This record gives sequence, structure tokens and C-alpha cells, in this order.
Amino acid sequence: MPYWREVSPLPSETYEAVENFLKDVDEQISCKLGLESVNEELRGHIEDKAFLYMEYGLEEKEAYKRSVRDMGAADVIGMELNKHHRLRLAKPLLMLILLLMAVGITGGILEQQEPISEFGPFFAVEANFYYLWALAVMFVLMFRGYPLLLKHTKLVCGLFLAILLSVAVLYLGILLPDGWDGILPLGGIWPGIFLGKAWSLVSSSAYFGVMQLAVPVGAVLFYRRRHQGYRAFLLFFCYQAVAVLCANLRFWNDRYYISVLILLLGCFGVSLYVAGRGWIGLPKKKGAATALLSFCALLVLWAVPNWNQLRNSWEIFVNPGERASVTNAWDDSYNNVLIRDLLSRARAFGEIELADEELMSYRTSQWYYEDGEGSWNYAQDSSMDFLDFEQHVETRSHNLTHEPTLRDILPQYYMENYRISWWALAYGWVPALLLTLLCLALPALAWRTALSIRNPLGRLTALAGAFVLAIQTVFYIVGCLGCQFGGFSNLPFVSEGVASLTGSAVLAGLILSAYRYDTVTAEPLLATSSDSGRQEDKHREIQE
Amino acid sequence: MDKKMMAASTSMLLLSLLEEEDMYGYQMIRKLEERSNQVFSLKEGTMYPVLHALEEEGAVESYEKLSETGRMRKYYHLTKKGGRLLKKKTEEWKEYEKAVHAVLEGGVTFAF
Repeated sequence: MPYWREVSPLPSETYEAVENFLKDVDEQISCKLGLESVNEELRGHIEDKAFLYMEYGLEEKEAYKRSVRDMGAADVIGMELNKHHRLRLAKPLLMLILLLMAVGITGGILEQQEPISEFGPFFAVEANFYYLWALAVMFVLMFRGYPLLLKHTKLVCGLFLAILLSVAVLYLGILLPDGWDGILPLGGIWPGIFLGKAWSLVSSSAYFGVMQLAVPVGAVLFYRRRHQGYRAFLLFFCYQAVAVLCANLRFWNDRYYISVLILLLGCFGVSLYVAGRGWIGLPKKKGAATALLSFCALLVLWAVPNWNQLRNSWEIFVNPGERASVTNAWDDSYNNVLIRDLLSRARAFGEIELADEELMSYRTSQWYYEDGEGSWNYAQDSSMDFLDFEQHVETRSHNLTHEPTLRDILPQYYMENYRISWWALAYGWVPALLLTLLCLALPALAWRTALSIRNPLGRLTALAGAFVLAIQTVFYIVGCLGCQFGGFSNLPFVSEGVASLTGSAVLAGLILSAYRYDTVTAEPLLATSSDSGRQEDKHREIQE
Repeated sequence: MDKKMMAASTSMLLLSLLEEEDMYGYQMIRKLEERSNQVFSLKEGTMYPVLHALEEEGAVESYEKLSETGRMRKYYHLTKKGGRLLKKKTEEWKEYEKAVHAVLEGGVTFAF
């Protein structure tokens, strides 16, 4: 017996009976978002049943009356549906993020040296305002992010690409010959002339933000074009290539290779997932192979022009002693050398024990750079040409107005940025290990939350965010253990830094938002018509 | 059939139907009635909250498909998690059925 028949317009009275039933159901459902999908499903059922009755010989009006009656009490159905058709809150993930932020804020307060503000310890730490900002960004994204992304996907993606390209055009560093970089502030970026130091914040924020957000935005673009097979891969490839080229053209700040790596690895993860789910319109193996090929091609596109710098970064990562610079506080090689040495001496609980002489030796870097006869060891630093070692030690000692402490021997911003290793040195290995576990729980929970989203686009958007957070966390933890590659990675909530906090907040906000609206948004209703076709995916999956 | 008994097993029955093929709500109701010789006949609208609960649980996934009448129908598909849930529920049901049968047949004795 067929389950369908030609649909004919209903007489108003019959129509009214069905609509009244649906209205009664709707009244019991508190969240009104996405009710069209629920109504459509129930309406379809009533119509199918009415056709059956009509096949048995009932009049249309009677058939509809009976099929509405067969549905049962509208209010009971509505109340039962209300239990599942609601906005959701990913409580474990949200709680963990708040806990990580609390750790970061408490750490900042404990580590502050300035006198406490008259308004309380919270206000004495500038970084705490970054946390408030990040919290606000995360909640705004959580409440509004995903529905807006669904409704205005093209606009969001277009805007994102426009920002990327317009800043690339504004950036004139590429036009300047190599030697000219030093003339303009921040490596030849002309906005630096007008904005001065503020440009540093703007550029690094934009760089981190754009590179981080490029993964979920790219994932949405890729998903939207998934039915185009290889063309979808090509589009996704071009999208990443634009970002990589911008980075290659010393777009913002060429120190942050880590962000490009996060972008490429994140996008690779996204394309593998999409291919693995069979959404791309290609056999899974072919999809995975294309994803791998694209990733390798982008890696080459990124690595070849930066080969020398990347090799340096690799050396800093594996053998930092070869490149350590004692005079550059931003240098990660000496930082890696120092932290590896100190961590090996950390205790289970409590601050690392260092005698006054040792503290002074670490402070002046004598422990590493002196060859035992009062001269420089490891002659890698250009500063050694004009400063002999004794002078260097004296300068570093005189700069101190007090006996050196643990804080004085570490590079600048160490306590704020390298929170895990600071905890190992200041409070012991066990607290540091607990903090590490807390950090690892973030990508794990983000991943779990993303996978529990049933809406494919929502799941992919959240997964893209989880990929970025996971890669960041790994780089961050490894960096905290003295194995840093190409600048420090964005820090997931536990450490301050307005750019990294904002980027992480946006990602977390998107994940929470996709989860929040999962049961009340039906993708085809909000998406453009070109995006429907889910049935084809399913059929393909089932066939496979 | 007693409504409470029916309600307790509805999700298991729906999952078992979806094990064979993807179906939409009305199709499931008809299949259920057909297979049970009209014994399993529930208020049809009450099936949807059960389906939505299973979907929220991740036991089923839904997708929309255009029918021949031009209507967009919502099909349900059993997931791996749903398969595991069905297996568990079936085992529980068999255990329950065995116990009920044993009591009715007088095969179970109680020590006081």
C-alpha cells in the first residue's frame, strides 16, 4: 500500500482542524525556534493518515478529523516534545572554561608585584580585564553566534575574506626591500607609523584571530560546497592558500609560524572529517587522499619561502642551545634551554630550591654561557662582539635592586604565558600536572561536545573549533616543557593575552552556540536551498 | 494492550524497525501495526517525543527527503549508538519476558 498520494489544497474547515491541533502542540513548547520543522513532521503524518482513511472511502473532512483524533492529545504531545525541543547548555564545557579562567585570574593575582588596587586585588592586574572581555565575547557568541552564522553564512565568510584581503593590500611590507624593514616600526608595516605601539596589539590580535577563526569559517565554506566534490576541495585549498600566502608575505608578524601550523592542521582535520563522513560526494578513500594531498601542497607552499626561518625554529625546538641568545628577552631558544634545565630540578610540591649563587648564575646566564674561564661560551650571539662576559655579568647584576628570586631569572611574561612550567617551578610538579590535566580536559570536552551535536553543520563548526583548541593545547603544553616551536602558541584560557583570550573565547563561544541551538535548528530550513540534499548523503553513506 | 506496557517498549520497537531501513514517522506506525497484527496501536502523535528523545540521545539521526508528492519528509536512521542501545534493550526485554513467563508458569520459588 503506498504511503502517499497527490496533495490537494485543504478546505478551510479541515485546514483549521489540523492547524488548531498544531497550535495546541506549539503552545506547550517553550522554545519557539525551529517549530516549523516539528509542525511539518506532524502535519505530514496527519495528511498521510487522512489519505489512508480516504482510500477506505471516508470523506476528506471526516478523514482529517479522524487522523487528528488518532494523533492523541495535542497538549500531552506538546509537553513531551518540550522536554527535547529546547535550548541546551554544554555545562561541563562551560564550567571547565570558567575554571580555567579562574585559574588564570588567580594566577595573575598571586603573581602580581605591584601594590593591590584600592578596589581589590582583581583590579590590580591589567590582564583580568582581558578575561572579562573574553568572557563577554564568549557569551555573546554562545547566545547569538551559531544562528547568525547559519543565517548569514555567505556574509560572514565574505566579510572574513574581505578583511583578510584588505589588510593584505594595506600591508606594504612586501614592497619594501629587505634592508628597509628596520626603518619602519614592526618590520615595515606602514600602519605602525600612525598607530605606533597600538598597531602591535592590533596586528597580533588580528593575526591570531584571523588564523584561528579561519578554521571554523573555512569549515562552513567547505561544507556549503560539499556536493561539488573535487571543486569543494579546490575552493577550500584556495581559501587556505590565501591565508598562507598572506603569512608568507610577512602579512602581520612572521614570528608566529605556530598560527599557520594550527590553521593548516585544523583545516586538514576538517577535510579529513568531512571526507570520512562521506559528505563530499567522493568515495571516502579518495576524499581522504585528496585532503592529504591538499595539506602537503599547502605545507610546501608555506614552508618553501620560509625554509630558513623554519629550520631555525626547528633547531630551537629540538636543540635550542645551538641558537640561544642571552640578550634577547623574546628569544625562545634560551628560554627552552633554561626551562628544560630548571624543570629537571623541580620538586613534587613547593618552589624549586636554588641557592643565592645559583639564582645569580641563572640571572646572569653564567651557568650556560660562561666557558669556565670567564669568557663567552656558545658564540652565537651578535651582542658578544661588543660586550665581554664580565661586563655582561656586571650589567645584569647591577640591574637588580634586590637579591635575585625565581621570578628574576625567567624571561619576561614567563609567569603569565607559561603557566604550567611556572607552576612546576613555583608550586611543584604535582600542581603543574593537575593544571596540565585541566588544560587537556578542554579539547577533550570540546571534542565530546562537538560530537554530541546532531546537526551536521553545527557539528562540523564545533569540531573545527575543537581541532584548533586541541592543537593549541598540545603546542602550549609542549612549549611549557621547553620544546617551543616558532613563538608561543595561543593559550587556551589559562594564560592571559588579549589576542589569545579573544580567539579562544570566539572558538569556545561557537562550540557552545552550536550545541545550544542543536535541537531547535533544522539546517535546511535556515540554510539556502543549495544546501539541501542531505538525503543524497545518507543514501551514499548507506550504500557505502 | 496496556498503554504502560506499550510505552515502556516503544523506543525498543522503533529502534528495531529502523534497524532494517530508514523510515519516517507515519511509516513506522503502519509497520508497527502491520507486524503486531494491530496489537501495537498507540496514539500516533506520542511516537514523536520518543523519536526526538532517541535523536537527542544520539541513537537515531534524522534527515529530510523529498517524497514523490513533493512533501519534505523527515526520515530517521539508526546510528551505531542506537544499534548498541537496541541490543541492550532487547536483552533486558528477553530477561524480563523470561522472568514473567517463569512466574506465570510457577517455575520460580521464593525462600522465606
